[in-house]
Amino acid sequence: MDRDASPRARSTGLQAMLTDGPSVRRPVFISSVVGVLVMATWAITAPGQAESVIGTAVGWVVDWFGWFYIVLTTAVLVFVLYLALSR
Amino acid sequence: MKLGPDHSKPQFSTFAWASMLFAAGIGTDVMFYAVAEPVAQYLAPPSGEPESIGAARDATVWTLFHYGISGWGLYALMGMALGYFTYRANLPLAVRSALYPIFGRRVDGPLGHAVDTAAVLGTIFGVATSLGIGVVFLNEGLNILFGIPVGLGAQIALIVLAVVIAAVSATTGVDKGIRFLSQLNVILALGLAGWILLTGGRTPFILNAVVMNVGDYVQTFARKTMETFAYEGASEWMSLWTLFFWAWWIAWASFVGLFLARISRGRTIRQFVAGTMIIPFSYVVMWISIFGNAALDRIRGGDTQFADDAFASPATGFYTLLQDYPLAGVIIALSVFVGLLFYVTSADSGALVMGNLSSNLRSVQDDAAPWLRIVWASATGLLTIAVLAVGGIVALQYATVIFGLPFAFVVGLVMMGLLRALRIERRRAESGAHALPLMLSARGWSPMPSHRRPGEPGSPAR
Repeated sequence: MDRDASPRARSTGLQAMLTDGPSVRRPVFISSVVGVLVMATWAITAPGQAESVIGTAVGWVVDWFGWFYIVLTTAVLVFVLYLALSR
Repeated sequence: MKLGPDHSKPQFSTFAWASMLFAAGIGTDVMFYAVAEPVAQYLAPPSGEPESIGAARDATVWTLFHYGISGWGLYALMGMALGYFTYRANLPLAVRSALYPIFGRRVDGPLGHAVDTAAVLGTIFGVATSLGIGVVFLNEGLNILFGIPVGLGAQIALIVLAVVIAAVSATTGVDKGIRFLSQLNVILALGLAGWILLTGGRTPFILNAVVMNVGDYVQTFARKTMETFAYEGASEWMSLWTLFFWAWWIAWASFVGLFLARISRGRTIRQFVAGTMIIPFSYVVMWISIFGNAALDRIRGGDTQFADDAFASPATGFYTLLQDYPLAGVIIALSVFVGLLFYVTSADSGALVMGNLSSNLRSVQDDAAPWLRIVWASATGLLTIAVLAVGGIVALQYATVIFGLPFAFVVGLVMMGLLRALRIERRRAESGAHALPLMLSARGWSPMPSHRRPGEPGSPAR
């Protein structure tokens, strides 16, 4: 927002690096970076707890959504082959 | 139907194209799993008798199955979707664009942000898992070559190396060099597999086993692709193997898909699917069947020490196997070099893809801002080390299964979106084809536009 408040600073190399290139899709960038940082910080500060929570969570995902992973992967393969053969 | 305008032509040769696929997708980790998985499936199969002929037969086929066409189906889907919606529908380059046919303009709001966030989070966990496995695997190799101790210190150093190279590549223009190296790397990897095939004194056995594995893969595919072990209750096996691999490929699907869309402009959907199904699979069959059967042959020949080592410490199995071949020192050094190149390439292109998925890009050829790529490279490095420290490779595998799930739902929606868009396009083409004769006949005898009749001044000679 106040990036343009100091236009002179733009000439430095660092500033050019920060402003060059396409703009950032902020909601996506911020929520995913925050998610990753929270996860990493938690894993570093409380590894024992992280290990047990990950173990429990994976059991839950496998029990409830294992079949979904299996069906999805097969369905995507069939779909892709159908597209290739039909056009 | 083409990915790109109808007149566009492919930009890369097929070999360059295929090399980039390996370097970006499966490089280092297929080296690790080519020995680790067949050994594990032979000693601890999900059902049936361990260490039997049946288990030996099935062990390598499971590995082929996990690295087989199923994962490439997911990549091909994301590649087609991203390519189609940016090249042909002119929507922004993002996963959310593929949901446009389903949700319409609502994809511009929180829904689209959630979808893209799921894609980025899935990708970062997928890449972190690959880097984590790569780091542990390369650490063992460096230990054998230079006596570098195996542990978190060396692993952090390898991660820092990957982040630095990704940063250098983002700020200078060495991407092209890395692309060249990935082609060199594929040739070196082929050479390594050829060495194992030809110099171990078991060439006829391995050739027989390769052919048999492919046959068994085809024959058992329908059963394996829907296998949930409902009665065996092998849920721990599933979370470490099939479900992990599927979640991993789903997590990698935006990454490889984006890359595929970029390098496949001008190929038809048929060429594209045939290319992604046949070329990588041939490479995978060659690599996994040669190394897997060589390892199993050694175990069945009575080397229980090797079996125990490769099972307890999967990262060392590959190198222990190589130690029995002529010029072992050279080929181990070469393997570490190949692994390192694949690893660095994955880290570099991973940072680029995560940057692209979190930027507003108009075209598939655009790149994210350098600072963003550096942020993502660092975040991936941090996450890799954090999860590795928690519980090694298994923790990374579990995290992939958990964080791949939201994006798995997105993949289902992408499939529906693409189907709907292609149906609409076909209907439009068909109605055009139906209407054309009518339009022409309505204009009378002349196939020329009505304002320019033949013979009039200014009309083109036919």
